Amino acid sequence: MAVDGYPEPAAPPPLLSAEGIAYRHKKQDILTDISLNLRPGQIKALVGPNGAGKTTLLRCLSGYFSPSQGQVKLRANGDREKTRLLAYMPQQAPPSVALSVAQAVLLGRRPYLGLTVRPADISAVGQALARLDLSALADKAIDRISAGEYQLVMLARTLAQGTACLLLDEPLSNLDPAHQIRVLNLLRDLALHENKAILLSLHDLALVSRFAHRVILLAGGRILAAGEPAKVLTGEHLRKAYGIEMAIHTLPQGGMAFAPIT
Amino acid sequence: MNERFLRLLLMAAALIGLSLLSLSLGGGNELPAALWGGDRIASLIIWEIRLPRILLAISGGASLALAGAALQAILMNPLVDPYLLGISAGASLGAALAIVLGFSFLSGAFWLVGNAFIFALLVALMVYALARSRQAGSYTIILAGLAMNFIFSALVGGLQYMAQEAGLRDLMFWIMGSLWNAGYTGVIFIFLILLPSLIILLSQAWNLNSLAAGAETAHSLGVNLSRLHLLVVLVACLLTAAAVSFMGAVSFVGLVGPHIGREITGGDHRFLLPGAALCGAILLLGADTLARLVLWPMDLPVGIMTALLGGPFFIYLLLKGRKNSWL
Repeated sequence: MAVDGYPEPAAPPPLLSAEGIAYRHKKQDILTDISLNLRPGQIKALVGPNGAGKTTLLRCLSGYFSPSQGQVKLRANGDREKTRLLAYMPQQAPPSVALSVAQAVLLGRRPYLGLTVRPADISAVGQALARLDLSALADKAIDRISAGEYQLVMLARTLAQGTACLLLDEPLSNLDPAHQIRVLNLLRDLALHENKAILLSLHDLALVSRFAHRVILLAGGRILAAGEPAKVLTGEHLRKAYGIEMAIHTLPQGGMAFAPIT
Repeated sequence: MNERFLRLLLMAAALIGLSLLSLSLGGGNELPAALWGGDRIASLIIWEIRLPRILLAISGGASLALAGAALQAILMNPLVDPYLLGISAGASLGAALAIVLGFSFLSGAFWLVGNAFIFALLVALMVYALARSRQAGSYTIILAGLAMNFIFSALVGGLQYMAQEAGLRDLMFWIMGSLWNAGYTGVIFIFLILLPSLIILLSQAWNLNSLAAGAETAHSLGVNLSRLHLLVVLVACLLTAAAVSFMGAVSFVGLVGPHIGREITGGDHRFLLPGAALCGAILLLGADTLARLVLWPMDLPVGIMTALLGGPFFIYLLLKGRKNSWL
């Protein structure tokens, strides 16, 4: 079944795959037995309650953490190739250097930069800024724009890296509803027309049901359910994961609405 | 980009102008007398006293501010000062041991400076080892440096308590920092460390910039964080040890230099690193010129001047400061 306009994928080979990942910290199991594949042309959403291990999983996939067990396989050899295949947008950290917006986006080109900036890098930055409607902010300092705008800048930085695979940790957390939709539409375009493989963590289940092609529901460091949104985001699964009752409606326009009724 | 380059050039021009001014200011008209009058005493004053002193202010101020800028970036903390790592306190202990107890690893011309440098390097090695061990985070390095500062300062305080009057005065001069003992050897030594350091740090400019959005982002962009940490800590330690050994623990330049530099060139380290170095040089040279002239013919320790000028200026920056930013 096609979900919200997605064509049924012919399952191209994954760009990134995790096999039986576990992460242990101070004798506590943060993640247990996680396996997943990121395929080109797909948006995969990572949902689950606070502390379920979403960020830890993304850090393991990005290579910032090394898993205690299992491994992350990437179709890349060496660090340089990796940074050209996989871009990672961590949760928002306040800027520590007063770069301009354009400079901050240019950081995404670091895997390609020598001492000088080439025209190709400039145009990649310009394109990323334009895609997120940030061109007017290009010369502002990143510590003088709003938290939402800064989040868009960080997303532009991630896009400017020009990778086939994107890992985004709560990329919408500071955005208003209109910008959330705009960003998700952009990500869908990137998946469908530019064959990107996208994994993002997100709390808004309605948006997940509307935009994600696949969902991974994480609870207590384990995968509770994974697959198509309609099959994962069920009352039973959500009760298990979050411990609350949800009224779930399938909307005629596509997607689902969720309302806690506990 | 061109504009920021222009700003660097303007700062360099200002530094040259200030140097010429400082060279000509003093007791009387030594500069024309030395250049055209063939006056031997005037020549001596200009070439053997004022010029090395000016060059020491430039090289020392640039070293401290460059080290400060690099450390602020790597430790992602705007309050970091190269002295925070305890290097200056180590150098002070080396100097105090030499002055008060006559203990030195070296004899001859470098008994004092050499001892300070060796002790500074010992502390630097300890900081470096700490940074290496268990990949200590920024806070660990800062707090450990703070602790080392206290330990070494206590030892210096003990020596001060034991010191005879003459030794005490020498020691005070050294601890506050002064340039009256400047010579070409020190200048050459500091420049020999400063120039390669500037090139090495500039080669890491993009990596330092990548840290602007946090360590995780930098890692995802392919920055080898632990290697960058070690490299910057090592270079900053060497810069600080060399500068402090020859001019004492001059305060504030390593903290304020980078901040003023950031106001002028912005946060991009390709421009900030040379900009901070130029600022440090201008700051220290300006302060030392004032220290020479304010109570002429009495020569104040320049450390008093940098703190007196730097402190209020720093507060001014804080007050007019930008919200949410590094100042």
